[in-house]
Amino acid sequence: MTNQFPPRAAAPVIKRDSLPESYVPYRELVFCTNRLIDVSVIMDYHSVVPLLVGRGPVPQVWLQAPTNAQGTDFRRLVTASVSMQAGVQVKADANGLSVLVAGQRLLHVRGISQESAEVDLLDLRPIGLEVHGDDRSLHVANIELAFNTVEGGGGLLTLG
Amino acid sequence: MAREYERQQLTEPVAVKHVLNGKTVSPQPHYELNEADFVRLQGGPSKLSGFANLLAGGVVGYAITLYPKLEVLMMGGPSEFTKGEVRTVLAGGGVTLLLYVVGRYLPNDRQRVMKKISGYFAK
Repeated sequence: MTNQFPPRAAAPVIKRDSLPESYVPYRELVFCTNRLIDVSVIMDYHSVVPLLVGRGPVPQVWLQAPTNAQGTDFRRLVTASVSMQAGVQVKADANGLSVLVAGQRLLHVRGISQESAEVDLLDLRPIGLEVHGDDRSLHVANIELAFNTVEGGGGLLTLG
Repeated sequence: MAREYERQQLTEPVAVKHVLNGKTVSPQPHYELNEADFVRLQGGPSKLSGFANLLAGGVVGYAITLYPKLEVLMMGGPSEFTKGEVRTVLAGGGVTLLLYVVGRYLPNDRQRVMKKISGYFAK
């Protein structure tokens, strides 16, 4: 024995400047009632992108979560709608896709057309981020956002 | 007091501080280890196999001291082993083996806890 196999490298953390190559944003994404038009990054946390929802035969979801309470490191839970970790499930249904962690639903995306989709259920609280919403509004910490519109630019939220 | 953004055209991202709630990723629920089980685990392998190890050391040590006599035998000389020496090695080896087997298969607290944990993570 001369050599040991190196441990399998964890998928790199997705940041604002290192989005996955296969990610193609929707022309229009309704994100808990808020309309995002030509928005590439919905939200970031110190440039780390916790969630991406992109185009595909079924909506393509990337999900990352902090691995410590300080938020200095993140880990991939879902890559291109494929679970990267035991306990994380991605389920397709008749009109979209759900992500479940330990049986709890964190996200539901409904594909509307090739160009548009809607996130009508979101709860990132179980994975460390005070972000949740549904088809009535979006709550981020102590802020509520409903029926706003964002076109292009830096996205909907900058988290800190 | 909650701030609200409703029906607005947002030209730049809304900045929100303190969004981390301290929860971290552990999709698999943690195994609940109570202190009693922890103490059982800390106890290490059963006392019986510990004693078997001790005895094995003694028997092997004793057997090594008999090597000069074994060498004579290997050179074709007459056996210089006494009956007592042979009995000691055989009996010591036998008892050691017995203790190992009993220690291995006799259920003990540590094994019971380990089995419970293995079963939990195998699910």
